Amino acid sequence: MKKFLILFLLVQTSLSGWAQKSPVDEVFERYSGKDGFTTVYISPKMFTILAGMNTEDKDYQNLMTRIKSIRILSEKADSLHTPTFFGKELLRRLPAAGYEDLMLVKDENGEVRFMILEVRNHIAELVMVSGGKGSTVVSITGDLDLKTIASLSDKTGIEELKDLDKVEK
Amino acid sequence: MDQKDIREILARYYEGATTEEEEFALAEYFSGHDVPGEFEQDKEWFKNRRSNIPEPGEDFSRKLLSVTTMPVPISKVRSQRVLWVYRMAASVALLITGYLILHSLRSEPSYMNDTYNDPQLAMAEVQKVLSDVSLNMKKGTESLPEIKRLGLAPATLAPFTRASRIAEKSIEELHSHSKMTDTTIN
Repeated sequence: MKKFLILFLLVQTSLSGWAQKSPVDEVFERYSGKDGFTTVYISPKMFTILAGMNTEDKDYQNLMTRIKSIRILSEKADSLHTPTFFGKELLRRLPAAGYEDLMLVKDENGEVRFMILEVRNHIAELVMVSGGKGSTVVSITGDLDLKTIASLSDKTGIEELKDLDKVEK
Repeated sequence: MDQKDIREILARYYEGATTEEEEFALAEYFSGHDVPGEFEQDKEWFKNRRSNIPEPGEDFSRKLLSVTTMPVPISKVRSQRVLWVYRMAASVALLITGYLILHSLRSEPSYMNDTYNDPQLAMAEVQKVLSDVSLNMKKGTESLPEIKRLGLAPATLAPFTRASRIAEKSIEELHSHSKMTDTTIN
């Protein structure tokens, strides 16, 4: 009986751990649809359509097939809305969930932090969090690697990011 | 009853072969006062013996049967029932957990509906997001070329280091030469 109970508790704990949501999922679920928040979601299905739109450009096609989904959650920065600073809250919780710092950019407009979630030497998620009153979270999921991120720059004309290819992990 | 009879009955009594009447006669004999010294111990035995063994009551056999014919003790039945309740509860809990996990995996949150149904609009949004991400990354990687230059610096300085080492060696040789000439002059 005791063995059975212990086994049951173990199975339940492992299953609940497996079904646990990431802090990014939780933030999106909590704030989407609420007053003062805007959510944009582009699904994996839409990306398959987008990948088929420009079949001549192989780099573009590679990028579109590698990206699984894009989620954006932004908070309005106006006097009518009390800011929640959800970006700061999210940044506090991300390291515990296995997300690692990629880059921190600070300028006169505030700071932008890039964090990545690695799964089997691949970047499964890239999260960009811009802080301040009007926090914005951009989550790009898929089978990303540094090359893919670098190819974002090709599409937008940023040459420096190509050097990321050569960075040893 | 003479002493010989008493001895004979007592012998059978201790073997458990006496009748009720004989035992009654013995008890009566030993309760008297004129008991010879050789029967002193037997007299003590019969004095302390319970003469009145209660007869079993009418419902004795019923009570005995009710106890002996009961297949399983009540406590055991109860513990087995509790075990079944636990098993049932555990199974139900397992089913509920399984259902909840499947439900949470299958059902998607409300925001997980495509914001744009038109691929062109979705494309415009994706490009906007990617350029936003790239622009922010550009700000962070602007200093990369400078770091690269710094990385080249030790290689650039290498000939100078070699030259300085050669110079040091030559100076040392000069010093030893001058010392040698000094000693030969003196």
